[in-house]
Amino acid sequence: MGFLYPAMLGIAGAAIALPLLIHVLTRPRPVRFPLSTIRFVREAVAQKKSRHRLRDVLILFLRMVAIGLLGWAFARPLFQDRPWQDSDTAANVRRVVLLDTSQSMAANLSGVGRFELARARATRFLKPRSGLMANLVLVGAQPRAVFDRLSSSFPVLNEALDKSLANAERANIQPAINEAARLLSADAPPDAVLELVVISDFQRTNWATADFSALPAATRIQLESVAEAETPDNLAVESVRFQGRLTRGTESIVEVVVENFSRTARNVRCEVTFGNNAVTVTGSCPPLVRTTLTHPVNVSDEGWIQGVAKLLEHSDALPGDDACPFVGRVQSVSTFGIVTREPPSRIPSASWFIERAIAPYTGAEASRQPRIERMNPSRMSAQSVGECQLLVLVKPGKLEPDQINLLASLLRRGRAILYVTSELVDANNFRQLVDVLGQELQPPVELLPNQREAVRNGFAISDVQSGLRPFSVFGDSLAVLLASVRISGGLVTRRVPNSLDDDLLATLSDRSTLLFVNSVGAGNLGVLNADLSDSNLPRQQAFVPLMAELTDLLLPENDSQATAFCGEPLTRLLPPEASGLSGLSVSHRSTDSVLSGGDVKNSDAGQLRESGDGVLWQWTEARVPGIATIANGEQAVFSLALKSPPEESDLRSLDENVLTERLAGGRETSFRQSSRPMSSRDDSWIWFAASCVVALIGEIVALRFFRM
Amino acid sequence: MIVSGQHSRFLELRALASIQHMRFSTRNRIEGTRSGRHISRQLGGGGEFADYREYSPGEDLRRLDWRVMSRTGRAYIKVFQDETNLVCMPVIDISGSMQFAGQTVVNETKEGRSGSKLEYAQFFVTALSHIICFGRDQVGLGLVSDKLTDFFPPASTTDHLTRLHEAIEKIRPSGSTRLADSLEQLFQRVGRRGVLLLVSDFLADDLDAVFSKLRLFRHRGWDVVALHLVHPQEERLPTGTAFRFEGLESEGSVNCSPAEIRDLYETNFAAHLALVRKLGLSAGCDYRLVSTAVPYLHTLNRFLVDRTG
Repeated sequence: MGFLYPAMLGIAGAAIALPLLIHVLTRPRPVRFPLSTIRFVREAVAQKKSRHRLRDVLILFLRMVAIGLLGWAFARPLFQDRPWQDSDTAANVRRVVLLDTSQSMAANLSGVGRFELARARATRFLKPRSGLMANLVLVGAQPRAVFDRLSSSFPVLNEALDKSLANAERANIQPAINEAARLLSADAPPDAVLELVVISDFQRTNWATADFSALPAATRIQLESVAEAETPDNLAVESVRFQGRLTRGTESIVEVVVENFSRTARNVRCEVTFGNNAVTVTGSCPPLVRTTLTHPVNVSDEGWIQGVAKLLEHSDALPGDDACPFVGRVQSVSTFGIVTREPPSRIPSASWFIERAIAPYTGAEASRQPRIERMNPSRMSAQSVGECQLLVLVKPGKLEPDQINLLASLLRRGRAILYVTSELVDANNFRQLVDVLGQELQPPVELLPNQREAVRNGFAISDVQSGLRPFSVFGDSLAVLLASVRISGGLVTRRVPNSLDDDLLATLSDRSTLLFVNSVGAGNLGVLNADLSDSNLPRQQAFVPLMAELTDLLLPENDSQATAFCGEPLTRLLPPEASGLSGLSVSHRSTDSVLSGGDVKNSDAGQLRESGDGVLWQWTEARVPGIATIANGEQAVFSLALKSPPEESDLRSLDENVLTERLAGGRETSFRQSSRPMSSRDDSWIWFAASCVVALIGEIVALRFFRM
Repeated sequence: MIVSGQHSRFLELRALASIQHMRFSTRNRIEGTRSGRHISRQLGGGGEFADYREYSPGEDLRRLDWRVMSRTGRAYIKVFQDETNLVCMPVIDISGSMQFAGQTVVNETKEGRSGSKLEYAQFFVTALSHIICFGRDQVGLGLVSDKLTDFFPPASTTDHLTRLHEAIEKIRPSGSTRLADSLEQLFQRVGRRGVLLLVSDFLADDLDAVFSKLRLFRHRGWDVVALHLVHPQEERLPTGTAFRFEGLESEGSVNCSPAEIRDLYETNFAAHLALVRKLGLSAGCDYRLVSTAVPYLHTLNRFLVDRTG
């Protein structure tokens, strides 16, 4: 709090003594009056003494208060209008300015952007003066300090400030506070005044968990908010995805998730453009709710598609989140591999049942179903299984370590594996796979070598996760369908402590596990613990749809690995198609470039390097939203959409009291809301003047009351 | 009655001419020293016929009604009402409070304050004593404050009256009001029954004691008249911002604004007046509240008319 005319406070202080002075100076000189009845006067005075004393004290108090309030009003108090830094004249000041450069700072309301306001405010704190050493830390997904330590090079700091921009990334607050704590703690003289200035919109999603206690205890914190007094309306396209896997020539559904951060419902139109296709999805978005708008699409191109969903005929406070890039991979026909020692001529056999269940059609309809490639485990190599999206292991026999490593690599790179376990060697193979994958694979059960193989016969399915895939597709008829199923063979299982129940999908009547699914790296691993040739499950009508659902469950989503947020460090293991570094190139197109169909590419999009599992793509700092593509020649082998973090679209600010009390960690904190209109800041003198009038009226009332 | 040429300044003969024919009397029977116009407590033979009574041996044969005896053969004695002179003992309270003269009259001379209660009492008692002596009754004087400061036994001579007037004229107010002690001393000095006229403002702490002493006089057969003098500015405080009220009997001073306590003061003073009146009447006194705003001659005239009945 400051004062427009502080001198008036001194005058008011002196004027408070005025009533006392007036009382003394104007005290009436009593007229001497000899009176015979003085005893009655004395009695009356004694009776009224306490009342008169109360009256005198009250009147004096009210007069002093009135004068004090009047002086206060003339001094024109300005609450939170002037930060303490402006008037600070300490000899040694160490100051760190944290400037929020997150996406929400790009909000622009009525022509004045938050970031422009913040930059102007930061300039005031980076004015050079003797004894002041400062540093500027730009707060994004990672803190970026201009200098490694506090400096008096204010021209450089101001130049960095001028060049700073709001980026499409989140504000990762705590590392920035930790960086400020490091800067303030280093080389600070004992008598130095430590100051932290934070200029931000104090977005609730970013600041709710901030903790200033990492700062030195003597640090004074100045919080400069550039947020508007009322949260501005905002609509954001949070994500775009396709239902299921995209297959060329088949209809799919595009889902556009729109979040409405306004206080009223909004009707939105969103244009989704990808390849040569463009669809417009419409719908109504209730306030403060995430809404999914859908539209059927039919893609004819094969390979990676790139697109942008953009809100039409719409304007809000934050334009940066009105468009969202997305990628998807369209496949022609899936290829599934069956790795087994069983000859294809043996009918029926477990592998034959699997093959018939995965590809049940013949004739013209066969083109719609996955292509099956049977292979002997001895012929299994990276090349032979490279095109297979799903690998089914049925009685493969003992696998070599190289083959185990290959399976692990396939899983990490997004392939799916279904292991039908029925033999003793399967337990060993599975254990080796678990050992190779380490922490990446955490199965709910342990497969044990079956000592009493002959005994495992005719088990019923006792427990099923009926609400989860693949069983959820059967609905209410599941119990009837599975009632007659009897499972024979398979391995004895033992639960792994603290494993997830949701991974365990079906259990047999002997408490051994029938089916579980685990995600490993970018892929999925499923284990069906049964000997299909001895069980009656393949002969049940539920078997074909069950296998279809199971394979669909295991196959990775088409874009699950194809989204990243700007500002975050990026590391991706490329799919098996990118088998080597030769011929690979990486490029990046911004969202605007994708929208305009331009060919502007930025080759500065990270680096590719070989790793044991394949080609690794690393990008330390992706700043601009758009689509990054890794191509082998002209052929895209991987695409990734870079988006702004969805939490940046929520422009609601944290309450001032939470910042200054709960998060301050006991530090001296002051808060200034720059968006408060000037009139409201200066109105306080009116209240003081009104209080002065009230005090005077109170004096009159008191006088009248005591005269009664 | 002949008075000397050098009479008291409180004796206004010209003003008294209109009322000096009136007589100060009492409804009670009194004891005098000689024959007079007032009914005596004694029945004798020289007065007005009152009644017959059967003769008893030993009685004075001169009072035997021979005519009745000759007609009836029975002896009756004629009884006559004795008449005697009146003895009046005015007592003036000369305490400090009696010199209160209010705010307007501040003409203070060596004889006293003009317009004070004491001056009023001096005029009143001087005139009354003149009238009493003019009616050939006896008048005395007692001056009381914290004690009986002066005492003149009743007499009716011109010299005595002159001495009384001189004494009244020379009164100097002094001391505090201790009426009870003073009246007790007076009670020990007076003998015959008469009329005790107490002129005071009754601003005393021990009002109960005062009226208990007056009750002694009543028991002895005295007719007690309590003349309660009140100054108008005692009833109502002066107007003004601030006053330093100073007591007249060494009571210190009080600074205050009269407006703040006016109502309470008036209530207290009215309660005091009511208390004095109640005590006076309960003691069998002839209580009279007299305001000094009323001319003393008017007060005297009404007093004499009432007394004459």
